[in-house]
Amino acid sequence: MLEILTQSALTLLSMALTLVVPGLLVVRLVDRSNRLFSPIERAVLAVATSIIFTDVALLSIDAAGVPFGRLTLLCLFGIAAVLLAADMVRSGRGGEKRPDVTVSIGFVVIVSALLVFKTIFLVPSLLPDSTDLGHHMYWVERIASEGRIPEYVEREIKLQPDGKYALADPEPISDFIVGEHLPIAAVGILSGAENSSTYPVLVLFLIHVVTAGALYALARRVFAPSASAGTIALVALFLFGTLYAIDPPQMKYVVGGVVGNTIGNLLIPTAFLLVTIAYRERRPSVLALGVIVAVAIAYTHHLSALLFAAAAIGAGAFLLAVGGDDAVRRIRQIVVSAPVLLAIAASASFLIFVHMPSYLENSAAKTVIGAPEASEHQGYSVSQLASAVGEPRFVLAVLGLAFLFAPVRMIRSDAVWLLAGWTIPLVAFVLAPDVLRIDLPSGRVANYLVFPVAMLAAYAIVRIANMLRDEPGLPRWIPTMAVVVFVLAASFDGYLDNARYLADAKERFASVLSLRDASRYLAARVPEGMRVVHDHINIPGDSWVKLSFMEDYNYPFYRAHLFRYDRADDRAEKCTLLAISTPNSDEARACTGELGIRFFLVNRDIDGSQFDHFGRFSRIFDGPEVSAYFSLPHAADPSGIRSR
Amino acid sequence: MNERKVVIALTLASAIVIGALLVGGAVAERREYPGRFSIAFEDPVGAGGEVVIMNGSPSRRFTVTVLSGGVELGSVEAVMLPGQRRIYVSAEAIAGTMTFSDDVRVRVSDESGVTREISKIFTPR
Repeated sequence: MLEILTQSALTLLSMALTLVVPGLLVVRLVDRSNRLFSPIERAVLAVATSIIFTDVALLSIDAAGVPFGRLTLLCLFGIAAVLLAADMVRSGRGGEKRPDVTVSIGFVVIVSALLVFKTIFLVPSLLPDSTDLGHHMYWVERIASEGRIPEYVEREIKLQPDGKYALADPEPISDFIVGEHLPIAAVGILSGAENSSTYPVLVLFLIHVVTAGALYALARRVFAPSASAGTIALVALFLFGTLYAIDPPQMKYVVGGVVGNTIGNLLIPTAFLLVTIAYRERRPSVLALGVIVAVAIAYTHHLSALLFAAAAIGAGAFLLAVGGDDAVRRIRQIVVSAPVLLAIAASASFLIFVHMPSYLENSAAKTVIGAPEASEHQGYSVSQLASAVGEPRFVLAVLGLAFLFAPVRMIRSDAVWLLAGWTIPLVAFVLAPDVLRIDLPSGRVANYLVFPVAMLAAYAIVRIANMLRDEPGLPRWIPTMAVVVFVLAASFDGYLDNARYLADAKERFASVLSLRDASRYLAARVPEGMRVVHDHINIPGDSWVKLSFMEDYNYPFYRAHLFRYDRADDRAEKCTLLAISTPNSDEARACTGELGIRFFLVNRDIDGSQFDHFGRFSRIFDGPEVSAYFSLPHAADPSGIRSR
Repeated sequence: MNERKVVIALTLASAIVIGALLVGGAVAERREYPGRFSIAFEDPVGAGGEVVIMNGSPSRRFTVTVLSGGVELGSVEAVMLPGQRRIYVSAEAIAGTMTFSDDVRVRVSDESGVTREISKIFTPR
């Protein structure tokens, strides 16, 4: 137990050192007056900029040719901690005190409820088994074990012109971006925790909870200086974080290991928060930080980067449309300034001289331009979109958007340019990808709408309550009742959604651990020259198997979902399909022989019969769900097993 | 309420939650689950019949039976000490003077009756 407590404390400390300390230092440097950011904004910015600090620092260290181990990171984050402590001591002695900002008890209640819902859902997934997270953790393991930035490449099985199977040369992968792996790797390196343990999910959990804070802080800034800004932010936080607390892109993404998207979800509202503050307060240094956060999105997740760019362009267009000459003057004043130009130059230099995201290097961005091809890229109907973001939220958001453009507004124009500019392009991507010739997964794009939708819906609720309040002759309890009725109506669907997910959440700890036993057993015993294939369809969390081997991203080979073998742009080879579906067929014998595949890891109850039925396969491992088989060599290849 | 104090309190609360989840995850990794045991040949490729029982269940007693050509050659009870997670048994030792024919099968049952079986085929059929 002592060992568990020590390792847990070390991991918690590493998370604080990596995900809080450097950012807190950056925020204090940007806001020397101590008056610019509220405490909630500081907390949000601390985590967001810590992620960026970690990315920039590790990429720079790697570019300098220095491997980063625990000692390097300890020095790096230790220096940040010492500088932060020194700055805090100095400002405590004579620095300006920040003005008191208050927050209502409702905030504490909502955040507490949000933490409870999300934590309950997280508990059955404490031992991670999601396929996506397994894929990501392969790269994290590479970074942690090699102490350098890995080359994002994989070796695929190729059918050669002579009809034989062989392993192709390594080819670049554009699906992964190093910025999403470095913060997790840094925590792992510092703490020494195993990458198959709980900590990666908890890093994502922390980032996700802070994202809810970012939305609250942004809503409060966007609707300021209206007296209702705090209430709108509170309702937005409730609609975003407490209702549909599990639905994508929230906890489902956290336990599902949708790493880049989860980090992108923090960085997008953070970037808009900084832009809003910079514009409102005319602060170039804040915009400079906003530029760095925006560039960091590109180093973290390509879909987030693309949709952020679309939203930013939309917001800019609306700002120019509603703000007129005054907006142009103000933008020029802020943008044409030393801090912003320096941030742009530094970002460009980093991109050119230090590290370029793999998807830019591989020109993978081109793949999103053109008519949508896959069925899940064909766009949503309005009702599908409403369902994706939650029907009550959607209806209220439409009302909120209409209110934004109403002749008499209760707010300044910032909300119009930001919220309309953020929402409309994303809605267009979801509803009409064919018209815009955008080839993106519609469901994933719809998930990004929950941020502006929550703010717009909150605005609609508060606006209706205010209208009723200002109506002469109406008793005062009516607006209060109206808010209660709206919130209850919106809550029903959201809580139902939470309940559905919580009821479905089942712990699979025994299966997860058994799969680890099987994969570690095989990794330790498969002789050189022989290879392994495992099943993806019937073994949950099978991607974690590759962490035991650490040979290649695509190894062990796996039987993919069957539809992938029929898609023209996907699996050209059929060997992994045959090897598990019909292992004793002539085709399977031939191709597994060519590839050296002799070991098979399958779900015994579903796919075991294919192997048990034929006297060529020895079941060499048997666990609660999975079994491993070893095949006697093909008649033409007598090597590999000695006859008794 | 003072926002700064609220943020500090929520940060501490989050740290406690994350700390508790870290401990919970580590405990879940080490816990024993009924029926969670695996068996395997120590040398899957060669001819050796040494079997490893990887235990993650509360069971401490396992019945190991060796068969060949459909005939039971012998059976022993393997006992694990508390805290022990793996034990090794030899199919050859269990079979004694009996010899394997075209295959050897090892069947292991725990105290609750959960059974696993592994096999090694020497002559393909």
